[in-house]
Amino acid sequence: MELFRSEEMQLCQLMIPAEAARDTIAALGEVGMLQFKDLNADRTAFQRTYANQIKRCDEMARQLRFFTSEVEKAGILVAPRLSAGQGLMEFDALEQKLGQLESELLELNANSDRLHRSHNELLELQLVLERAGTFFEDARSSADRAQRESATAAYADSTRTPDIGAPLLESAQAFEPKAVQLGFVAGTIPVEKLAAFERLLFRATRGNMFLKFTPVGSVADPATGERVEKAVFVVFFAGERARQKILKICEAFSANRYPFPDDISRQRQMNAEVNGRLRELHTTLEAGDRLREGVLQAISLNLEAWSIQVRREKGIYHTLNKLSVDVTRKVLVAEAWVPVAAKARVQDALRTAAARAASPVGTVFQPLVTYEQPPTFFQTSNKTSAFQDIVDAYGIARYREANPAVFSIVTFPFLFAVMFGDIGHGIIMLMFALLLVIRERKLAKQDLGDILGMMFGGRYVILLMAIFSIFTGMIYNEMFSVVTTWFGRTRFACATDHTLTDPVTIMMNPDSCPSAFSTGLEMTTRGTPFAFGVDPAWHGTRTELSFLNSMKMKMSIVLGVVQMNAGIILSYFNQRYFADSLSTLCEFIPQMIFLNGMFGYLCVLILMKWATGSTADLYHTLIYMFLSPGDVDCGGKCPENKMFAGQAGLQVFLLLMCFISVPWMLLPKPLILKKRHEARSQRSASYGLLQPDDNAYRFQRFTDEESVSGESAVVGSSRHGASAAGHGGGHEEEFEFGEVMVHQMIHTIEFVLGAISNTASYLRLWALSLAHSQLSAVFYDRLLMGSIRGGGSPIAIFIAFFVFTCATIGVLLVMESLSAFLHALRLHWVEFNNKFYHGDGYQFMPFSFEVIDKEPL
Amino acid sequence: MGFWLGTLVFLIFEALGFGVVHFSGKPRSAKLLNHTLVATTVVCCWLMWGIVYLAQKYPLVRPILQG
Repeated sequence: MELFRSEEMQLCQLMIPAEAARDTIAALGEVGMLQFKDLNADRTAFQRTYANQIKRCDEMARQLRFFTSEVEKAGILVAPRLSAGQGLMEFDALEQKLGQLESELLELNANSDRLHRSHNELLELQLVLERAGTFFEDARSSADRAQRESATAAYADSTRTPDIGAPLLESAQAFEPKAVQLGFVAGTIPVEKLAAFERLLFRATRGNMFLKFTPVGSVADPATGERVEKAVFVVFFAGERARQKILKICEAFSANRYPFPDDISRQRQMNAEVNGRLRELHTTLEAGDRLREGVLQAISLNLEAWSIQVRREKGIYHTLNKLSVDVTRKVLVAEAWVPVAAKARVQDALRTAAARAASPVGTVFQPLVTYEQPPTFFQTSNKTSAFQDIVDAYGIARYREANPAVFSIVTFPFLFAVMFGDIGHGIIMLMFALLLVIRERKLAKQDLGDILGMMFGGRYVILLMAIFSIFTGMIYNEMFSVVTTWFGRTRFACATDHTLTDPVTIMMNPDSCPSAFSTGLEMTTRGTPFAFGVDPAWHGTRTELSFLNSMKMKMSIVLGVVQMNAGIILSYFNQRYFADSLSTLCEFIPQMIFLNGMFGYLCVLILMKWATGSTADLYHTLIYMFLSPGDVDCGGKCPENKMFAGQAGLQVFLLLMCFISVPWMLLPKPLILKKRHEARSQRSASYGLLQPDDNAYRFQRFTDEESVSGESAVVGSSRHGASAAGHGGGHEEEFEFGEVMVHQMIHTIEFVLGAISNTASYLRLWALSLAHSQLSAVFYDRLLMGSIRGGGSPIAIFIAFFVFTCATIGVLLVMESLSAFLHALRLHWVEFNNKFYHGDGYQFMPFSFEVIDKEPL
Repeated sequence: MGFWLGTLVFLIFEALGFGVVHFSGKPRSAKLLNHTLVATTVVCCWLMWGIVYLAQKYPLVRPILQG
């Protein structure tokens, strides 16, 4: 079964003739089943053989990114690649073409920018002409008016020179007009800077200036191209120094100045000129834009294909950099991990590549012997990949160890469902999951965003979770917290009158069965309970919780002990596979004894109590098993605690076995390993024949810190394949007794303490299922039923239903399901995996075009 | 009695599942995986049902209706 243990891997050596190197690697990239080892790891990126080519690829990638951003800015859609051979070009030819296109595009962009800038400047000039023109118009008309007034009023005052500038000053009448020529500066400035501009001008010229401005709305700024709120201003000043200062201040505030002629006829002429130039510019701009768009369209057709090609080239050169060059410089040597099952495909690809490159010599492909740990590779289908990802998130499996994903595919949704059991919620979740699964193909092509993308990736997980939730909902007998009677009639009836079996009828007529409200309903068929699930009579009673809590807590413990035993048994399978009988004797057996001696025995007691209806107090039994061994019925005072004959003796025996198993877990293994190491080093000190069991394919369970060497393992044919433990290929014998002992002690303490804490941890199954059912009951009772109880007006019911729906979806379906997901995940990762899973492997990451094509540029 | 009858029903489901996987015409490794999945499912469901069934055989509390 391929999912149970990772694929068999083999380290192979390839000797590729230099002229066929690139084509061979490209062909291998198509196959996508080789993970190349980096043989030049000691060299930096710049010292490698193909560093230059990679630089060229990077340059091309940058150009392609530039094209992509330009195309997107222009709003053109990038067409997907039509065929594999589309736009395929030689590397050098592609480089040249991309360079050419880039310079063309840059030139077009620069021209377009320049034209736009002139266009905006002309627009501004037009505005200035218009507005400043009106200033002067107003001024002139008021000057005329003032002159007429002053002429009529102060007839005799003929010293006043009718200056066109004068009436602009507010208090013109009272002022002594000086015979000074006023200069002015006209331009535009962003509105927000206007106040500061005015202040600074005032201070700089000591008040000897006059600023008139009017806002003109939103205009495209020539420098930046963005639309800014601007105002046209005219500054009047006297003197050359003031002029210099004002010019500098205008520059500082990035106000655009425009030459504004005094004359009205010259103004009109300028206006006409500007309009003419604007029209010309328009046509030029349009032509330029059309040309640019044409170039971008042509680029966008091939953009996708070129991106893929450049990415692939880069990948090929990176891989080529990992190969080592032979002394003769005619052959490149590669070392790669390949799955044994894919070797045939790789050899085919090598043959076709050699034929295509027309090289006289083919590639040599031969296996290598190594002690290194191979990478882990699981062949997953699109249905199982989500589960494997969940396991991998905890840790990549060690090479060929048992993969918990095989069981997690079922147990993870199952434990989720134990915490989430409700038929109605399960059905809604099922509908959502079916939606994702049925429209799989369409949704896979879309970009769904983070959250929905994650849910889409886990659609099969959600599907299984929903199906199991419906099953556990049927067992808990809850559908949106309402009880169902699908599986028959209740086994409970009124104690005094066995014909009254319907709790609803009894509640409607309380006098028909008063005992139901004091001592409760009686089970009419003791020993033959409701056939499937929880009896519907329990729902809504006062003792419902006390019964269900007891049942669910015991259920959690039983499920927990079963799962933990399964974990320990998986560790046995691992030990058998790697022929590690020492661990079996010194770890598996004492672990089984310890766990089952205490908690397996507890499960047996639970089952016995249920099956016989005994009233024994199991808390008391278990605690006093340790506190006063041999005394089951507290010296005769609690006779109900004795459930079977010989219980005291059995308990003492189990206690003794648990006590023995702790040092059994702790001491023998390190001591035996030490003796083996000494025996080996003694033997290797003298020349002699290798003992038969040295040649056995041995995979010693090794610790995290040190490496215990395996015997001569040979890679290749046997399924005990690649290795002994050596981190980094050494088959040197390093054996630190201190470290091994500490490691074993940590392991033992972890297991012994964990037996209690992990078992108790499974009580979260009870806790979350209680929370779910109570939340669901509260929403139903207070929202839906509350609105009906409190009058029943249709509007109130409508609103209450709406709130009920929001609460159900938001709290129960989203929050509770995330919570149950998380806790089920924790139970798997911690309580299940730490019984057997090492998870210290590394992922198989082949050089594959499929993977590279999906990466961003 | 009812417990063993129920267990038999689950065994029948397992047999059906076994048959469906066995004659599904998939490659051997996929069949092994599917057998494991079906068996695990049946065991989990049986455990759940069995626990709830046994817990109700001789309940120590009785349902007391609310007034």
